[in-house]
Amino acid sequence: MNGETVFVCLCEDVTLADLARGFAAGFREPETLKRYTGACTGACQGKLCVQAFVESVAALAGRADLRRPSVRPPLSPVPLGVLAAGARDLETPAC
Amino acid sequence: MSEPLAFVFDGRALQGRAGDSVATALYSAGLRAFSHSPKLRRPRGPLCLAGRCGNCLMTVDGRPNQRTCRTDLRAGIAVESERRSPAARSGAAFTRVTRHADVVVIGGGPAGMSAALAAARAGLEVTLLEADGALGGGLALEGAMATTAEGRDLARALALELGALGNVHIALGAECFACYGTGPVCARQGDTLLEVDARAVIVATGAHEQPLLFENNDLPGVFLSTAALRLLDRGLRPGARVVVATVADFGLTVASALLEAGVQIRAVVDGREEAHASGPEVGRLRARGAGPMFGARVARADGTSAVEAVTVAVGSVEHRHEADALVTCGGFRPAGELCAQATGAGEFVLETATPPSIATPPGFVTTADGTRLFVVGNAASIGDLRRAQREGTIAGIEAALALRGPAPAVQAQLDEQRAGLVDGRAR
Repeated sequence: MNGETVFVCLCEDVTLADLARGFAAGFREPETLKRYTGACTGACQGKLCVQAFVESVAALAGRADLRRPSVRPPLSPVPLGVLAAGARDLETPAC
Repeated sequence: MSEPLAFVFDGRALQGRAGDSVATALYSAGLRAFSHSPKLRRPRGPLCLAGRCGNCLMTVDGRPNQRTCRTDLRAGIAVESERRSPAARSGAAFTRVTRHADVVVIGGGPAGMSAALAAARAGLEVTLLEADGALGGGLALEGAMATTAEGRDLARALALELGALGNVHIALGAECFACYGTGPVCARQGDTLLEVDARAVIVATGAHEQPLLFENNDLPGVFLSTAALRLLDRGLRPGARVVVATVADFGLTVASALLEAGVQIRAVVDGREEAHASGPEVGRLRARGAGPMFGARVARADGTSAVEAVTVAVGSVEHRHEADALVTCGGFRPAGELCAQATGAGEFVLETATPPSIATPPGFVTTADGTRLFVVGNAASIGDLRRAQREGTIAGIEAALALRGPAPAVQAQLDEQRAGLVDGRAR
């Protein structure tokens, strides 16, 4: 199995093979490999993939002391209109 | 029969039933590939049916990227698949609502409902946020199993008790997406930004079922086992001939539920050794001729636009099973994301046997601005129903003591609940 169709992150189409390539390119921590591949940054925000992702990085690194990448809002899909709701200064342009 | 609802999908007139989501209506109309993946354009079908994955996104009434499993079917709506980049359409009216409460409880499952009840009975103003359209959380899934309606009955009983209290505000369909540890907790409720300003936050967000890794694990027809239960609950099936692959007892339970519903089980594949599996669950399956294959895993799924066959590997020996669905259970992981946001701490995810929690119950973590954060139930670590209820109750009482000061009667309740704890965790 070369991992080209083993999807660790479905939202961003990141496969085991992608992780191995990123790791070989020098991104050897979950935090940096996440940024390089986009894994765990899609619609699910890691809910389904973060465990498989960290376990895959651990297998590549031969380490067991890895933490999950950081978690930032929004945790689920939110329309920009919801985030901007009620922000009056945005509704009335200054010029 | 429930009321039929007519709607349009990609120009075709279809009919669903009241109580359907857009996703279950499309699924029962025979659709399997709901979307295409962003880079490789591979077909994707509903995987979780619980608003977590991004596989069922469609344009609904002109609004792009809607999770169809979280969108209630309404008569006359127009649903479009997103083969091309969707065109955003404005015109929606977004609103912002701020609520003030003593405590905000995030998640309306058994732990969250118990926390809200305990806090409210001790006199606190409570806001309870539930992402789903009804209270119950994991209890609704238990109810979906043919063997017992106990979970659903408990959910109904707790919801009734909560509804009878004047100091609990229940926000349904309110999905919390930000918990900074300072300032309000933010939730999206439809087109409303719901901000809850509270001095204590109880996180009771439950668990996420994990998928399994194998070749072509993204094919439509691959479902999480909880999604298979959600289909059964709507009178639907994940397939006619199904392979079940699991590394946890829950997957075996779901295999039994599928058999009960008349689904043909081609194979039950368990990655563990038999000594680690639940004896009664294994016995039930064996009695029905669907005994699990232990120490085995799925090597790959095959099919052009949906699962047509599943190849199982036991050591170096491979078995191919013709099947139109593959139900997987990779175990459950605490839904600890909001705590990680609030505390800035990562969570260890490697030691799956005993995942350490971020804020170890029972006890509050106090964040930078003095907000008290409490994590209970499966969100802290995976456990059973009684433990979830007890931890929720303890958190609710502790919130009252922390915010209102010492009170002998409340303290006595806390001591009684704590007596049920073993090694700091509820049993």
